[in-house]
Amino acid sequence: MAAVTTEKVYGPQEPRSFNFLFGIVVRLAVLGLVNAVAFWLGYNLWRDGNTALGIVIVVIALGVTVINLWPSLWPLRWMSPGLALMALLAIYPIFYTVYVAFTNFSDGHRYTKAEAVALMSRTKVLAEGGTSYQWQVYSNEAGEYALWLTAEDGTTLFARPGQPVENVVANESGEGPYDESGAPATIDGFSLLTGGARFQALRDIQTIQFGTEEAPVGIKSRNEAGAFVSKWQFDADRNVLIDVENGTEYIPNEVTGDFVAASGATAPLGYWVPIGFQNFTRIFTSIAVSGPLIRVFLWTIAFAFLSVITSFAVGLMMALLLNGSGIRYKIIKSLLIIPYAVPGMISILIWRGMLNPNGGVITSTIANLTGYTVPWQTDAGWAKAGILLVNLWLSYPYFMLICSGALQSIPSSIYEAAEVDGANAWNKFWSLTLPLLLVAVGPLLIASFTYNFNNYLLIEAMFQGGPTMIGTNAPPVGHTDNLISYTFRFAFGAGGTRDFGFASAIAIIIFIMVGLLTLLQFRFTKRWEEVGDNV
Amino acid sequence: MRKSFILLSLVVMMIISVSVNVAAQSRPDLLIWADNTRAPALAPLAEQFSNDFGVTVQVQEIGLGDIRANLPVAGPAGEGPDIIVAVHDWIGELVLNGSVVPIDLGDKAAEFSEASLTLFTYNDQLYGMPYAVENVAFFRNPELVPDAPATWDEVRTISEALRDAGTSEFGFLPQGSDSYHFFPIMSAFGGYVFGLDENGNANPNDVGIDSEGSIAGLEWLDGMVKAGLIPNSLDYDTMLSNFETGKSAMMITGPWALNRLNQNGAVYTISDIPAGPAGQGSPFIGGQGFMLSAYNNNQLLAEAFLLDFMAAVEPMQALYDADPRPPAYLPLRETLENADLAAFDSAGKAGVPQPSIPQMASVWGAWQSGIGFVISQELTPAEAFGNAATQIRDLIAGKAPEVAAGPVTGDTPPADGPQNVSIPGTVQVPAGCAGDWDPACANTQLAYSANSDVWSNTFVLPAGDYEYKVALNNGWDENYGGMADAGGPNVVLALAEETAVTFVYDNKTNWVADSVNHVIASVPGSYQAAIGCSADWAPDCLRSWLQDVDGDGIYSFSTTAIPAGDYEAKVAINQTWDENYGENGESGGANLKFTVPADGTEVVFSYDASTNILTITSG
Repeated sequence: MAAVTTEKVYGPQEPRSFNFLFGIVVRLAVLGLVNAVAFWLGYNLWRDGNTALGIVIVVIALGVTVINLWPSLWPLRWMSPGLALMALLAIYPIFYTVYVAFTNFSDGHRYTKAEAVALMSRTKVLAEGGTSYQWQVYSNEAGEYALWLTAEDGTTLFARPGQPVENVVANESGEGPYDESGAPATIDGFSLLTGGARFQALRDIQTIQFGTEEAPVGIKSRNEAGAFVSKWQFDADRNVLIDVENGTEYIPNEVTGDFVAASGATAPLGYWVPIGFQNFTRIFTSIAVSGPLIRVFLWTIAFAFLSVITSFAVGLMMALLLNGSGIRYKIIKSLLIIPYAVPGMISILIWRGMLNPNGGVITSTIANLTGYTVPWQTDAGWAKAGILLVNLWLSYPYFMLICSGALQSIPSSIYEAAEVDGANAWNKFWSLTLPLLLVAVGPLLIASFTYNFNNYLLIEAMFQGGPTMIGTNAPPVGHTDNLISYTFRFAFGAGGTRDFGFASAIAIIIFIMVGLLTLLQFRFTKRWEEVGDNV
Repeated sequence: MRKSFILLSLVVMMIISVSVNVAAQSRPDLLIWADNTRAPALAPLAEQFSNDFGVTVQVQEIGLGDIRANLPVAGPAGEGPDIIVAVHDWIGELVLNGSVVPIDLGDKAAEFSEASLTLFTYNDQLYGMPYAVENVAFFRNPELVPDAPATWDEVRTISEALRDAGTSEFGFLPQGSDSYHFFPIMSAFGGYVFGLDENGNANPNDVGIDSEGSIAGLEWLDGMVKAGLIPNSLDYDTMLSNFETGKSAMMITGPWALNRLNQNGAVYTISDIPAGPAGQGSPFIGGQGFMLSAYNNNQLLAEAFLLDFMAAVEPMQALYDADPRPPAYLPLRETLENADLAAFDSAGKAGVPQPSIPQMASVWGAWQSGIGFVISQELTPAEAFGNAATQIRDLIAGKAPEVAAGPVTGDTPPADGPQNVSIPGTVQVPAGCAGDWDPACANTQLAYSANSDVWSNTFVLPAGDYEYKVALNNGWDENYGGMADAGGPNVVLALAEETAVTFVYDNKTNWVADSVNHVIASVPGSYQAAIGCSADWAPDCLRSWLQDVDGDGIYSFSTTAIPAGDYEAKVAINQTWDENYGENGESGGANLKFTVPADGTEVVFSYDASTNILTITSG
C-alpha cells in the first residue's frame, strides 16, 4: 500500500473500469465541442477580416486540448477553462489595446489601406464618352436578364449580357405593344418584369455586365445604367490612387495614413498606420499641460478614497449593529441589501431626481426645514458631496455583506480573553475586530478603490461631470469629472470624431497609474496581515 | 495511440465546424436598422413587402445612437444593415468614415420638401431619403399670455408683469443651459454658430459663438436671470412641469413635447419664435430619414425598397402614426390637417439647417457651458461666450490647448541658441501684458518649433498702429529690428482692423517677420524631410521659410542639405495649402521640378511676392 501512495502518478490510473472509459468519452466529447465552436468562431472571424482574433481563439482552443490530452500537463486541466478565458478576455484585449495605442486608428482612419481603397472604389462615375440611361429589367424563359435603356434624348436600346447593345427601331425589333412609360411589355422573347418579379430580379442584376467587353453597360442605381467605372482606382505597381474623373493622383502617405494629392488635398478615406509614440506625446503635450488635469487627478483619488472609506465605515457599522441571529436582523439586513440589488443606473437616476433643486424631494425638504436650497448641480462642493452620498448609498450594502461574513469568522474566544484582561467594547473594536476584519476585507477595499478610480457610470450619469470649471481649455471640464470621464471626452466626445488610438494610449496610462496605486496599497495590507498574525 | 487520437479528433472538429458554418449562412435580402420608435412601425411594412414581393426584408431594433456608432464597426465585418434610420446631422461623421453612400431619388425628389432635401445634402450629394423634418417653436399658455409676444424684449416685459401681478411664478423659462434651445434666442439677436462659405456650406473656420449677436442674445438671458425671472438648474422636465402647472407661461420646445403636454391636459398655443434686433429668431431644423449603408450587399434592392415602396402615402403615414413628427413627404404632409404641425411649419420658415459637419460635435458642450455660466451668474456674457469660442476653435483645430495667459509651450530650444524670444513693443498691452516694451512679459513670447527651427506665435491685435522689436532671453542685451540689424530701429505694424498677426523669428538669420508686413511663405516639396522637416509636402515646416531680410520683396532661402536626386516643390502662404502657387506663379498650379546634381550642392529657392513666381536654382 505504502509503495503505491508514495509513487507520484499523474493521469488516469488502473484499473480501466467502465467508469474510466465513460469519463474519457465525456471528456473528449466536451473537448470536441469546445474545439468545434472555437474553429467555427475562428473561421467566421477570419472570413470577416478579424484574422488576429480568429487565430487567438483557435490557438487558445488548441492549448486547452493539449493541456487536457497531454499526460504531463494533467495537473493544469482544471485550470484550463480559467486560463483560456483569461487569455481571451484579459490578455488579448490588453495586447490589442497596446497595439492600437501605437496607431492612428480613429474616425477617418478606420480601415486598412486595402479596405479604404475597396470602399472608395464603390463610388462609380460614367466612363469617358459614356452615356447614362434610364433602365427597365426584362427576363426570358431561360432566366436570362436584359435591360431596356432610354437615353436622355429619347433613344431606346436593348441590352443583353455578352451581346452588343442594339438600337431598337419601333415596330421592327420584334417587340410587343408599348406601355405608357414607352417600354414594350415583351421584346424578342423577353418580358418586362414588374412587382415582385422585378424586386427579385434587382437582387441579382447588380453585378451583371450587359453588352460586350468593348461596350459594357452596368447598373449604377435604380435610375441609372451605362458604362460606369470606379471613380477611385488604385495602381498597385506605382502605389498611387487615381481619381478617374479628373486624373488627379493621390500618393499614399504612410506616416499620416492619407492619400495626398500634390495640391495637398486628401482622398475621402484615410487608412490606419502605426504612428509610434505620437498618441503618448499628445497626452503629455495636450492633456498633461492643460491646467485642470491635476485638479481632476486629485478629485479622482479623493473620490475613490472617500467612497471606499465612507461605504466601508457605514457597511461595517450596519454589520456590527445587525450582528445578531434573530429573524428581525435577517429581515432588516435583507432590506438593506436592496440598494445593491437595484441596478445602479436606476438608483442614480432616482437620486438625481431627488436632488434636483426644482422640486426634488430631498432638496425641497431641506429647503422647507432650513430655508436653504442646496445647489447640488451648480456648486462644485455640493455636487461632489452629492456624488459621494449617492456612491455611499450604492456601495455600503456590499461592505455590510462582506463584514457580516467576516465577523462570523472571528472566534468569540479572543473576545472572552480580552474581557478577562479588562478591555471595554471600544478597545475590543479597535484592537481586535477591526484589525482582524481588515485582514479579510483589505483586498476588497483595494478592489473597491480601483473600481471607483475608474467609475465612469456614476460620474457621467449624475451630473455629466458638471458643474463646469471656469476658464479651462478645451474640452470643457467639470468639477466632478474624474480621470476616465475627462479623458473619455477628450478622445471621443468633444473633438467631433472618435480617436481610438488616442483613447487606447490614455487607457494604458490609467492602467499603469491604477496598477501603481494598487501596489502601494498592497504594502499597507501586508501590514494589516502582520497585525492579524500577531493577535 | 494517443497522438493519432488527438489528430483524429482535430480533423473531426474541423469538419464539424465547417459544416456548421455552411449551414449558418442565412441573411435577409435587406436588413434595416431602426430605433425603438421607428422599428415597430417599419416591421409590419417589411413583412408586407416580404410577403407581397418574395424578397425578405428584416428590421432590427437598435438604439438610435448605437446605429451611428455601430455602422462603421458592423459594416466592414459583413454584419451591417443595408439601410439605416438616421438623423441628418450624422452625415458628416458617416461620410468621414465612408459608411454611407449617396442616394439618387430621381423623379421621386419632387415629392419631398425642399428643406428636408437640403438637410440631407452634404458636399453637394444627397445622402438620404428624408421622412421627417422638425424644429422647435414658441409655446405660450394662452390663458396667461393671450397674444403672442413679437419680440424678446416683450417676452421680458410680460414675464415681469406676470410675476409682479402674482399670476405665475415665472414668465418665460428656457430649457436650462441647453444650447439647441438657446439658438432661436441667440439668432434673433444676430448670433450664429458657423458662418457659411461661398457655396452655402457651414464653414468650420468661422465660429460665431463669440460674435456680437451671440453675446447680445446671451445678454438678454443675463438680464432675465438678474431680474430673478430665470432660476438656476432647469432642465426639460422642470421646464415642462412648470409650464403644465401654470408656474410659467412661455417656453421653447419641439413636437416631441406634444404627447406629454396633451396627456397632462396643458393649455398651449404654438407660435413663431419672437424677433430681436436681427429679425425673427431661427430654430435649428433637423431631420430624420433613411440612409444607404456603404457596406450594403443589395444597393439596388435597397434603393428600390425606399423609392418604390416606402416613398408612398401609406408607409409614410405608418411612420407618422408611430411618432408624429412633421413629414417630409409632401403627398402625406398635404393630407394632414393639424394646427400644431402648421404652427411648427410656420416657425420653421425662419429656421436654418442644423450644421451636419463633423466639427459641430466640438460646439455643443462648450457652447452649453457658456450659457450655464451666465445662468449661474459666474461669468459675464462676453466672458462666457469668449471662453466657449476659444475652446471650440481649439477643438476644431485639433491642437493642444494653449495654457491660458501664460508662457507659450513650444519645443525645447537648442542649448546653444536663445532660450526665450519675445516681441517687446506697443503690441504688448493689447496682448495682455502689464506694460509695453517689456521683453520678459510672458504673454508675448514666441514658441520654438523643433520641426521648423524657428520661433513663432500668433496674437490677435485690435486695429491701430504698433511698433515692436524682437528680444532674446527676456532682456534687451540682444535685440533686432526689422532688417535683422542688431539694436536696429523698431518695426512699424499698422492694422486697419482686428487681425490675427503671426510673428516669426529665425535665429539663424536674426530676421523677424510678421504676417502683415510680409508674406509668411514656405516651400513645401518632396525634399523637405531631407532638410529636417518631419514630412515631405509640409507647408507648415518653416525650415523652408522664404525670408526677405533686405526688404526688397524677393523672398529666398538656400540649403545644401538636399541629397542628389529629382524633386518637386511649390510655394505655400501662411503655412497652409489654402494659398499656394506653382509653375509660372499660377495659383494652385503645377509643381515645380528641380534636380540636385550632387550631394552638397547649394539649392536656392527665390520667390517674388509681386508675381508669385518661385525660382529654384541648384549648383
